[in-house]
Amino acid sequence: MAFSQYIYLSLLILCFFISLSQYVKYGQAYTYKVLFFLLGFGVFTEVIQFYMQETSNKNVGFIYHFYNPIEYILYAFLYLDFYISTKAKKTLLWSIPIYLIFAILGSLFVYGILDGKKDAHNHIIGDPLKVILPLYYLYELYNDDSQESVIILPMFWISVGTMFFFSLVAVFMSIRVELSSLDKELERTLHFWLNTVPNYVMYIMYSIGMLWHRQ
Amino acid sequence: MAPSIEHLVLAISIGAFLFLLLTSFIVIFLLLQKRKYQANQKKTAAMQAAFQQEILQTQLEVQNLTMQQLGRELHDNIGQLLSVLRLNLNVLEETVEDEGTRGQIAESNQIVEQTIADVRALTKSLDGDFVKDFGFIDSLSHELQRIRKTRRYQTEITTSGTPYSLGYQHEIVLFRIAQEVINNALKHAAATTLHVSVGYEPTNFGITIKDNGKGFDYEGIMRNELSKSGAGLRNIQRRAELIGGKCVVESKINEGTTVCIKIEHFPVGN
Repeated sequence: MAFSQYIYLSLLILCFFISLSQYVKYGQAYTYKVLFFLLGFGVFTEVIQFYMQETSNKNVGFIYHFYNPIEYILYAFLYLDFYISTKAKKTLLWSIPIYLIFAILGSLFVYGILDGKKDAHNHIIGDPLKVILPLYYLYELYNDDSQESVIILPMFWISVGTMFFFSLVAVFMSIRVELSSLDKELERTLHFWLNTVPNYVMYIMYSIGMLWHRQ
Repeated sequence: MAPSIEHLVLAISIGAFLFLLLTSFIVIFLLLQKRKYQANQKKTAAMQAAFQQEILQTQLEVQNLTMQQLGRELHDNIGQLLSVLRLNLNVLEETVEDEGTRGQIAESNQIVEQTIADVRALTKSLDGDFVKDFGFIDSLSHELQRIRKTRRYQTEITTSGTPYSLGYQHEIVLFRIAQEVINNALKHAAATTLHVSVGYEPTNFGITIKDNGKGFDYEGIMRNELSKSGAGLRNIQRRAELIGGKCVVESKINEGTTVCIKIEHFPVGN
């Protein structure tokens, strides 16, 4: 396992513990409860993935067939509490079964869950949805006249991190695919910048948001 | 260029563009949100000020109406009864033959006459229409004259410049403020001398009411938000602000009090 991956995992675990401590500190607040599950599930998945990669040296892309739908559900529930518009809340709730149907059908019939392939539907459907969720939250935040400063809100940082990561990761993944067909060595060299750095940015943003929390 | 390199360049360009777009979006979002919040704060403050002014305006209207009604009651009821009493005393004075009793009746008649005059003066003082009909200066002079007539106080009014009308709304508010300041000076400061100076400058109107009373710690009173005197003074200041004026109070213990109100005047045609 590369050093950068250790840092990534450490950052993820740190983020998870911050969410846990904030969950306890703020009287089991809904946001931290969802974040605790989201980050906990992320830690769990990444640890299994790294372990399997180290021990069996197999392609473990199938893990993401399970991880991504659950991740989307948790993101949806996270934003559900923050959306003001009832219409948006309803749409958000409806997006969960629709996404799940696409994910299950994609995994079973298109991408082959056991072939070790990554679930491309995640990047086609999931990523734009995960960008729309924080984008709509920011839109409602902008329209909220009572909000003095948005940078004191944990959800602002979390939204910015989520939006950056999921909008960039889809493009970066395609760069990696193109690179791997051109120059494998270059692809490995740039892997850090194209995959790990966006993850760093996202979890650093999450940590800032959670630690920046002002009541 | 080979297709893969083309794709790579395209993907990198899209990635870089997206990154810049997102960064710009967040920066613009923060700037716009801050600007919107500040604009909203200003709007809320303006609305609060307008609301306060409306409350004050209503208070003044109610006060004016109550005073007018009180004045009318005094004039129509007490005044009439006193007039009837005076008539009766006149009749009685003519019918009684005893010199001693006649003298007593004549004395009573004089007292009733004085009371009628006082009630009339008070009626005028309470009546807001008096300001409308006779103007600010005459109303204020009448008010001071009424006080002077009690022979317990000395009053003086001086004017400078060519008098002009500030409009009924402004003048009635100023008159009520002056009445309150004078009343405070007599009632709370135990003043014996009152000097009122009114200045009509082309672009500024000013009225200064000075007394020789016991004075008070102005700063201390204004600091204490719950103080009754502080509330009264704040109310005077708010009323002055309501007509676009500024009220300055200067007071020192045992050195009397000076209340000065200044209003910008915009001559008609400017």
